[in-house]
Amino acid sequence: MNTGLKLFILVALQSLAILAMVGGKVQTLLTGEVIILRTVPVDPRSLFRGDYVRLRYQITRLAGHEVSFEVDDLRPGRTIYVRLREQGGAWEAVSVHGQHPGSTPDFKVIRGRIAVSRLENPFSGRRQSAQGIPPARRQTPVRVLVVYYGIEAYFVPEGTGRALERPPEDQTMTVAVAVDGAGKAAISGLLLDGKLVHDESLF
Amino acid sequence: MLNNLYLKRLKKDLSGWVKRGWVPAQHQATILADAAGEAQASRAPLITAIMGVVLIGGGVILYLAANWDGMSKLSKLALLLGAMWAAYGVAFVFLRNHQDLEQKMGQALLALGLLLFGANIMLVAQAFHISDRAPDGILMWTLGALVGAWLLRSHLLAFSGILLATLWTGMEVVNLFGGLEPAFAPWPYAVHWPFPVVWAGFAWLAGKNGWRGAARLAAMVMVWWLWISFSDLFGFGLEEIFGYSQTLFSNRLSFLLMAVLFLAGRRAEGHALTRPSAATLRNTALLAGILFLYLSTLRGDFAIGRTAMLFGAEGGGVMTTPAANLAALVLAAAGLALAWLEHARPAAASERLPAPVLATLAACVLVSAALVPWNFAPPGLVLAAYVAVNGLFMLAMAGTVYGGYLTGNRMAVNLGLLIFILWITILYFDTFFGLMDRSLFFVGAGVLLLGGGYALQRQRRKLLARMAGPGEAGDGS
Repeated sequence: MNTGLKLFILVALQSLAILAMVGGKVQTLLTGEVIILRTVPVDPRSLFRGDYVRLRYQITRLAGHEVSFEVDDLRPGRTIYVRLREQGGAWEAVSVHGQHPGSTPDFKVIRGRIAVSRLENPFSGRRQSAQGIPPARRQTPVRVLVVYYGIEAYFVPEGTGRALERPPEDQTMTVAVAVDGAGKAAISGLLLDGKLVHDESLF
Repeated sequence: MLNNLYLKRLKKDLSGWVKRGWVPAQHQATILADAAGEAQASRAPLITAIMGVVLIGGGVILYLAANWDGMSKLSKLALLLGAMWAAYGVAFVFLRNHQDLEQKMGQALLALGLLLFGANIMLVAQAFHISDRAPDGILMWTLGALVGAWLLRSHLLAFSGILLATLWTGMEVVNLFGGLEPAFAPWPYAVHWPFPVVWAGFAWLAGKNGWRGAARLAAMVMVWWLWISFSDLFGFGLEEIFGYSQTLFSNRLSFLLMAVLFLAGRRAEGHALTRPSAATLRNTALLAGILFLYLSTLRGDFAIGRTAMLFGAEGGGVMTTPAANLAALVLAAAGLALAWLEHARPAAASERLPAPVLATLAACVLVSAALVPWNFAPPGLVLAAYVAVNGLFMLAMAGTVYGGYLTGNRMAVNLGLLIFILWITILYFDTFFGLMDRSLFFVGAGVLLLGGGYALQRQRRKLLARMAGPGEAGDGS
């Protein structure tokens, strides 16, 4: 095999790898159904990255007393499927599964990877939220997962990221996410108070 | 690489020719300098080419960064791929020509292509908001280097690839760029097993093609990865090594691991495929082993009674675990077995570590392993152990110098002497700082450093001169 052919093979393989990265996201944006996810404020103690918005969602943190875990193996690094149901204009987590449980008009499924899995007492130091909960149950630790879905970063023009990470208190930021049949997600837009402020075009 | 081999051979032959009277002794240095000068000169085009590649790559990336926001995704993609294709295209033009200079330029441009491939991965991820596992992007980059190194027989791509593989496993295991957030998707097991698979690809290429630079780097990286994995398995990290030792076995276990790797390196020197990296494996393990052995001699590691009071009563800290005790036993057995094999090696005396050195190493292994499960002891016994371990360390440094001298390992000689003077200096500071009048203390320190340093430097020069004499033994590294 001559040098030219070898170089061609190398360039072709590397180009295909890049195109595969793009193709995956484009396919999700083209074929996926768009759902709205609520965001939660990012910890202000984190380092500032002005041209890069770090996104955390209500579905990032999944607690055992709020969401049903339909799978036993919840180790960090594991791929899981989170079933979502629409409530109040946004989609919220209902249950966690090891395999794709299938989507329906009322339930969508998003694929994620467990980053952190630990036992926590969800009511420690929160007397108000513990009201009405029996004392014995208040002390029972529950499994809490931190799950990443591949939609935790959004690149924006320099200097505009900070404002989006922590919008003013009277404004709510939500994210339009396209989810395809396999549960893969891609950001299709950012909304402030329901108004589109960043639209993700395909190209 | 060929130039270095030639120089080594020439040096050896010249010594013999001078001895036989075929070449005047006064011409030996001139001939060697002339040959070395040519070898040095031939590296200059490669070095300038690499500098040029880095500048071009940096310039392209800066241009893209400055104009990024105004471009559509399609134009970003076209530009990124186009830049990469252009780099490889120009590399092809140079590589077609088999002249030495053109080949070096071609290799440098291949490296530019690889750099742009990595930049493309990151910039495409940014353009399309791909925030999946960041280490996966580095893995893709690493595999691009591996394929390139294999297809085009590129030492430079292999070397770069090993560095990328190191970055990849670092990001997987220690969450290198995670900041205050939890690891993106931390490797669920203590040991990052995919790394050795990728590493083996590079190590095989380096061994097969005789790429010494890549082979040496691969050996160093593997020592580092083994230590990282080992410390993950037993639940200790840098804070236990360099901070207050809550896991008192960490330094001793690390030393045992390095002793085994050092002796394994000695064994590896006997096989053709592993010989290029064996010296580096051996020397890296030697350096790390001496560091951990030194850390094991510190008073903090012997404050057993105090430590028990501070941690045992409060329930914090772990002095030892059953797994650590077992690991100490297994490593000690492996170390002693390898030491015995080294002693029984059917090789010339100049290629074998002498018995006193092996005995000292074996003693260090036994004492370190014995101290791993040791939790409580009366103060008198603790002091005796402290003195014994420090005495053993001093013997170990003497053995390092002596063994290095006999086997032609210059690095061992230099290292042993340097560590010895540093150790004496630190002991002096540690012991006398509070006891002596301040001015007298500093005068004493100055005398020690000046006098001791001068005496040791003289000895070092004599030893190295003798090693460089006719019939040089070992690899001279």
